[in-house]
Amino acid sequence: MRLLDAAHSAPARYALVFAGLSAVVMGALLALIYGWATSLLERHLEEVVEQQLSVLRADLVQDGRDSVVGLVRQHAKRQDASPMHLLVQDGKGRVLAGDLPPVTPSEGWQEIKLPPDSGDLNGARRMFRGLGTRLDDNTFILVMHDTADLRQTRALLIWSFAIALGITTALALFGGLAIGGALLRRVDDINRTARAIMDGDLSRRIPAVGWHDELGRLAESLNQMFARIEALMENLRHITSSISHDLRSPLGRHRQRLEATRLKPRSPAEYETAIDAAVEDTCVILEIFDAILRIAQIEAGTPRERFSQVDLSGVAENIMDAFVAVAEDEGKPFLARIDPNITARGDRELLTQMLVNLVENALRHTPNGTRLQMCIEMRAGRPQITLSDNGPGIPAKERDRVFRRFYRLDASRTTPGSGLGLSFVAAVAKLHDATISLEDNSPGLRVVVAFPQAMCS
Amino acid sequence: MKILVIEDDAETAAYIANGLKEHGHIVDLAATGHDGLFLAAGEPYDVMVVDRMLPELDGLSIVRTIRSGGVSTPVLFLSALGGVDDRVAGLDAGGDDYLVKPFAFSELLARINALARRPPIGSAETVLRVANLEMDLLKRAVTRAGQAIDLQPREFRLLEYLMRHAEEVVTRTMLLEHVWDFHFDPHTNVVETHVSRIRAKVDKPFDASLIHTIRGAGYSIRESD
Repeated sequence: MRLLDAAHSAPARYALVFAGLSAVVMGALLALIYGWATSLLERHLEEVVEQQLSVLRADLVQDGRDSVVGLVRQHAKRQDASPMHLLVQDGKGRVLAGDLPPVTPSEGWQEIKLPPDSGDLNGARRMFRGLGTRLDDNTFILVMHDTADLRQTRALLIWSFAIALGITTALALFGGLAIGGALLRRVDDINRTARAIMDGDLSRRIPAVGWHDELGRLAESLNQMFARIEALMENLRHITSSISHDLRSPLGRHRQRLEATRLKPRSPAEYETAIDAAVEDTCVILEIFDAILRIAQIEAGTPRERFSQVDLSGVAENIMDAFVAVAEDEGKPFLARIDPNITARGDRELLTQMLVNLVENALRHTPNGTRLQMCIEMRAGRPQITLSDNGPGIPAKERDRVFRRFYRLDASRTTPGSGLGLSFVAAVAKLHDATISLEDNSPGLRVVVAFPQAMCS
Repeated sequence: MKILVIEDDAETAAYIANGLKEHGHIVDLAATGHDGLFLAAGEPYDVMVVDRMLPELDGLSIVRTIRSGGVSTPVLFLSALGGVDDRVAGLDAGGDDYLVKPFAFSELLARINALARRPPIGSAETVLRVANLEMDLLKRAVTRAGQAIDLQPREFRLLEYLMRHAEEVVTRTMLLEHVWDFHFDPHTNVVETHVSRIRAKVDKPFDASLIHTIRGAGYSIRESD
């Protein structure tokens, strides 16, 4: 089953192609070696034959035919020890000595075939190859070698080469399949994860194999993408439930009030009050709606191309101008320590609104007499906005949650507000790659927004 | 005033047209981009109210077209798109003001009035007067009945905006935009707080109030009747 799967997969095809190619290359190489080896062997045998023949000829010239005949007879007696076979014939074709049957004398290289030896169990025909020469006195000398050795060597070579080729090809094939299978499993992991996510299990991630190769990096990127999708879906789910919760209730109230007004006849003044209240209700609803849309727009990561170098000091001073009086009216001294010319890359309007949200948040959730302070400064090379108060603060375990949409501390359920202010702040901070942290001002809360280090001065 | 309203939503168009007519203006309505452009290019208007999303031809294109044709009539964009980019795009196309739907009619009316009465470019007033309140823009000094009034820079700017639009209604959002450059609605009473501070300096020591609160709309500076 797995193997069948593998046959349909890319790695298996690559393994096959790879194995085929390596077999061809290996085969060509072995054929070349085979050719060289056999021709070398043949050449060597030919040299031995030529040497033997020249020794015999020299002997004949020096010591006469009888000496040679003696030598050949001697040789024939121990023929099994030597691959060489000799024959000496006189001018009339009679065999004088040797272990070969008579032949028709002819000069040069020749081959003869003999029927199998009576004692040879294999029953193979014997083949000889050799060199013949006719001397001045018509004596014919033939020196031959048995080609059995050569054939055996050739067969041996072919067999061993075939085995080597088989092993190589098998290794290439199975190695390729094994590696391909491992890759396939990882691709399959990715595929299964993607399917599971498509089927709705957004928390699934591709298991890590610990290899930081291309596939590992792909899995990592995909996992990040899945995390982003999950976050977006979570967001969407959250917005949907928030809308249904936080817009339904004011809409419901709105409708109740209108219906209550209709229940009995009322004076024009009463109608006017009811209409004003209804308009006020719709304003609140629209405000919540706008806030949700704005946050969604910012979180979608919109307007970075409009970013410019924003004068944070100027923004902060403008806000101080607007809010010191408001704070004073609530009996809250609002101080500022604004270093001049602190800038950060971003969108002036969004940053202004972010800062206003923080200030209003501090004003709204602190009792009269609370002291507020805003600082704009460079801290560790990063432009930083700090807004601190000595009010009741936020309990440590709640600090992360306040950035969520519509999240409201129990203590502030009764104060007006949509619960969207801080999630707007978080969204703007994220758009600007700024970190935002809530710290204990003991007593009170300190909000620190740190922008990324400026690229250039 | 003669006002052109280019708006495809019949109900909104009727709402705007009726409201404007009640305030004594003459209103021409166009429901499509082409009709709107035809009217805008052909007839003289004091103000145009242009919806951004229209059938056939969108609002931005209409305004770009008439601006390139030399028409300098003030344009107020209406739009359901309330993003920062959207407003900037509207102003870049040649719009003079931008109002996000849904809006209160009083807001629209105040903005139309402010646009129509904009002083022609180049006419630099140096002294603004409302009754016995006088603002010298060069010396940055304010006096009422000859008595010097000491204002913070931002209070000066707020009073200046009110005085430049004397007799008109100025809404909270108009003040937020022009005095503090806030293009969003803060939840705290920024405007109210500052207006009451100015009142304490400009009106309180004197017998007649000049700064009036217009219920459900905004503020207006004018001589009491």
